[in-house]
Parts: sequence; C-alpha cells; structure tokens
Amino acid sequence: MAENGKLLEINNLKMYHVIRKGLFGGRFYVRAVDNVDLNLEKGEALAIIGESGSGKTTLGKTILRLYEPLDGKIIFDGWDVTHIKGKELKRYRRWTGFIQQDPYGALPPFMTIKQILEEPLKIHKIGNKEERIERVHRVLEEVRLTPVEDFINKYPHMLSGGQQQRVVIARSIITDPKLIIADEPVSMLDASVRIEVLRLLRDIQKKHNLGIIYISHDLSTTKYFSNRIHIMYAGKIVEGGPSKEVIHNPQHPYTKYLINALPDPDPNNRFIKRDVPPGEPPSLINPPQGCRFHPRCPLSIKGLCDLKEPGYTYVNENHFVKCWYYEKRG
Amino acid sequence: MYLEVKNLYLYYKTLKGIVKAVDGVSFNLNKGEAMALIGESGCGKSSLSRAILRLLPRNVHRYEGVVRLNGDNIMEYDDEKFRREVRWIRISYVPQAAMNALNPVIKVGDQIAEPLIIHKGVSKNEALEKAAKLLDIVNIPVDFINRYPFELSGGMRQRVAIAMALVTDPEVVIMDEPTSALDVLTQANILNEIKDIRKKINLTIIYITHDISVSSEIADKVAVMYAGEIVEFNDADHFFKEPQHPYSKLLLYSVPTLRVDREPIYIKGSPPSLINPPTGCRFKDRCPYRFDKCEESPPKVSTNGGFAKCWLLEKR
Repeated sequence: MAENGKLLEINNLKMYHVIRKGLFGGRFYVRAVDNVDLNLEKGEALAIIGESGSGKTTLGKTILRLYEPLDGKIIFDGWDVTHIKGKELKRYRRWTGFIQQDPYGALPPFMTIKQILEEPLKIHKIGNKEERIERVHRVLEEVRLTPVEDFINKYPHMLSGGQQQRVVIARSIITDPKLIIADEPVSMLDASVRIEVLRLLRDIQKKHNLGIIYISHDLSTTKYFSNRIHIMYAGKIVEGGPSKEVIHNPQHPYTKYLINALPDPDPNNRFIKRDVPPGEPPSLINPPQGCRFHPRCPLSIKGLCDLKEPGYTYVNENHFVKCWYYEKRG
Repeated sequence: MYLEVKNLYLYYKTLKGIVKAVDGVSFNLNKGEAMALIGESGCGKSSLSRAILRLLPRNVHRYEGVVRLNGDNIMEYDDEKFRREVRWIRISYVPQAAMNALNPVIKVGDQIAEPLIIHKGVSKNEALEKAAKLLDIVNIPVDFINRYPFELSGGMRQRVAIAMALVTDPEVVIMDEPTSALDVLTQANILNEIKDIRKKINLTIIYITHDISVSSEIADKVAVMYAGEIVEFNDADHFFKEPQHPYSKLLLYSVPTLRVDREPIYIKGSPPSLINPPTGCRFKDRCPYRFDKCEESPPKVSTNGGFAKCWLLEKR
C-alpha cells in the first residue's frame, strides 16, 4: 500500500511578514520562518511543535502557498511550487488540504454540510453532480458522521465541536489530496474528544497514504500521531528526529525545557517545581544574533552562541540538533 | 472543616427548560488544602464556582444549599452583606481568561489595589504599597506597577490577575482555568508561582481545570464533576493511583502521557444535556460497566480517601 518517495522537500525557506509603521515609517520584517529545511515522505506524519509566536502556523500556511515565500524552495512531489501563480496554484490546492484550529470559524455558517463539502469539488471541476454527492457521502462515512443523512443537510452550528472538526477533516480530504496541513486540529476540543479525533485523522492518513504535517504546541499528543517531530523556536527548527527519540532523549536545551515543563498525571507533581528558562521568546522583528535561544540558555557559550548560528549536528542518522553546546561537547 | 459545601444547587431557567448546572454538590476542604475540580466542558465546573461566589446571572431558577466558611454559613447572608464581607474579601476569584479581562486603560498597580480600596476602604497609598508587595509575590518586577496591561506578556498579565485575587488576603481563592490559554513554559512558570505562594501563605484553593495532568500539579484533593454532580471526591494520592468511579478511570486513561508509552483511550459519546439529565446514574449511557442497578440513583459510597457515587462500589 505504502508507496514511498519524497512528497515534500523544503530548503532554506524564508517567510517574513512586512509591517509598516506610520505613513512614512520604514518597513519592519517579522521573521516568522527563517531558513527552514524540511522533508516529508509520502504517507508520513510529521509534527511541528512550538510555542505561540514560534512561526509554526506561518510555516504551515507557506507550505500551502497561502503565503508566497521570500526565499527558498518548496518542492512538492517533484514540482517546484515556490512561486507558482493563478491556474497552477489552483492545481496545487487540489493536492493539499488544510485543517484549522477553530472548526466553527473554518466553516461558513450559512452553508449546509453538503454544500460545504461539495464546494471544493465544484471549484476543481471534479466529477458530475451524482459523483460529487457520492463522494460527499463517502467522506462523511470516513469521518464517521453516520448515518450520513442525519448530517448532510445540517448547518455547522447544529453540530458539536468534535463533529464540526470532522466536517473540516472531511472537507480537507474530499479532493483526494496528498498532503494535509493540520494546524492545532484538536486544541479547541475537549480532552476526551481530542484522542478520538486524532485517532480518526491517523486512520484516514494510513488508509490514504497521506502526508500530514501536524502543527501543535502539545507534545504529548504528537507521540501517538506522528513518526517524526520537529521542534520550532523563534522561526527556526532547532531539533528534529523520530518522535520517541526526541521525547525520551532530547538534546537541544529548549527541547529539554519543553519536555520537562509538561506534567504527566502524578500526585507527586505538587511537591516539585519545574525548571523553566528565564525570560520569554524573542520578538521576531529583531531576533537575537547567533542561536535564537542563547539569551535564555544556561549552557550558552560566550563568543560563539551569541554570534554564529549553529548548524546541523547529528545525534544519529535520523536525529539532528542545532546547538553549539552539543556540537562542541561532541 | 474549613470550607464545607453541602447540597448546593444552582439551576438556570432558559427557553428550553431548567438547566441543572449544579445539582446537589457536597464536599469539604481543610484550611490550606487545594482541590482540583475536573470534568469535561459543560459539566458545571464554572457554575459551581459562581454558586460559591454568588456571581449569578438573572435567570436563576433554584439557588440553595449550605456553604460554610470557617463555621459561618455564608449562604444565609443577604446580598449586601455577602458583597461587603465575603466576595473578594474572604473568597476571591481568578476568572477564566483573566489575562484578557484587565482594564486596558488603568495601570497594573491601580488595578491590583482597586479591590482593597473598594472592599476594605484602605487609603490609596497604602493599597498601592500592598499592590507592590503582591507584584513581588507573583514575581513581577515592582516597577511594573506603573505599566499598562498591553505592556505585559500573557503570562505576566495572568500573574497580575492572581495578584488581584490575593490582594485582600482572602481565605479561599477560586481559580478557573488559570493556565489553559498559556504556552507550556509559561504555564509551568505560573504553576511554580502558585506552588510558591502556597508555601508563603496558607491559602485554600479551588482549582478548576479540564487538564488532568495540570490538576496533579496543584491538587491535594480531586473532585470529578459530571453532568452537574460530583461523582468522585478523593485524595490526590489515591485518585491518581486508583480512581474509583468508572468516569474518573476513563478520564485519567484518556490523558496522553509523555513519559509512559501507553495508548490513550477515549470516552465514547458526549456528556448529557443538563436540561434533561438521564435518570439514575447520569454516566450510565457511556459507562462500560453498566448493569441493571444503574437505572436507580447511585449511592454515595465512602472510599479510603473520600467518596464516589457508583453502584459498583457498593458493598455486597
């Protein structure tokens, strides 16, 4: 079933948001995505973990080409989509799907579920009327909104949060895409529903051999969902590798802090204090030189971390970290 | 017993019917204890806190019960006395998304000092001095007293909200999801802060959250709420090792754990409507252990750390 090969190849991707201050004021750049490299195999699930403001959503939207990158390359299935426009961009959209954080905000309130799901098919001129309806039924069954007749003529507000998110998932897969970007797909949902929706997404991913980029701030759910994790901090990916390895053997100081800060249910937690780095993530308008984590890092090496950006160091074949301390320690 | 809540009811009247948001809730806390109140959204957690604080909307249908604070039944107080003597003086509150609830045009220090001036009639200078002391307790540099909320990060604003709740030296603080909108590191930071504060002042805390992992960071006692009722009340040590009620068990196993590799489960179905909750056990439709007894209202069974409402626990 699993056909292998690269689905997505991203090199040195840069996406800066432009801010103008005042009428004659200069331009400022928010360096939301700065020199990001990323690979995704067909049928692979990759998680991008970061705090708010780390640029993870901008990265997702740039990959979908909702933003045009400033620099770098996005190769999708051998096709350079970095600067495509018009018809080509529309063709690219067919092969990609987007799952947003807030399902209610993502669904037009004045359209029925059927209309919502049929729309992408109409836009991409897929099938005739009957085939389209058949496809709507099929995806609704796939996201387990059954019996389909109970849901197909409803409006989004008539559904619960979990059901709405299933409609969003159904819409994202209705054009048979190869790549899905799921941006915090479950963070608005109740804890008990989260696992259900994530598992559904994982089943769909396996069945259709989809490439999924799962964007989240929640490390604990990613382990069950993705094969690999990338950790993002202030616009850069600082560590990446197989999920279990990054969680059980983190190497970047930031990753270590992040994992240390996350509690598992344990009554002894109330007697301990968590080790938290001082300060807050930097502004991306004027990020620190060198390693962007260095002002908060207890291991930072003077004259190195604050001047030069660290490159890739490999812990093993699949696990990389961008940290001078790790590189020097060997 | 320091805080005693007994048979507390809060129903709302709506066009669709009576919403039984808090339906006969009872629990006890000792001084200095922290209780985590957990449950899915819509189970009545926030309504319970509003019932204790008497922050009621207009459409109240039924509001009764006993809330004893250090021996005084504050439910017997009239609204004026409650406002003057209890709310924000003996029991204070960190509302949900408190960091966005600060007034944008009033300086941080003035906002923290305000409850003191209004509720306790303290002079402005004295109140500001106290505000500075509290900024120090929540680890914000004291010179931030003259800043406006927009100059502070989310985590700092959340700490300001906590300082506001502590400024009157209350006996009980109710915190409603104080970290749910924050990033992981900021959340850890605030939780550290609350742990420190508990060491410095002997505070009784009711901590409302839907995040069970986070609840274990604070709780000495855990109360699990389902469809308007507390279905289990237990010592944290017992609860996290051996929850008694089937709902508590499922809730605990639905938490994705980071360090232990265990596939989390999910609870089928969704919580019942509070307008027409099922008769008998309210959890029976989702419960894997359901049997014929569940059609009747379950008994409150004492367990070695508290109680649980379930037929399974009844001694045969």
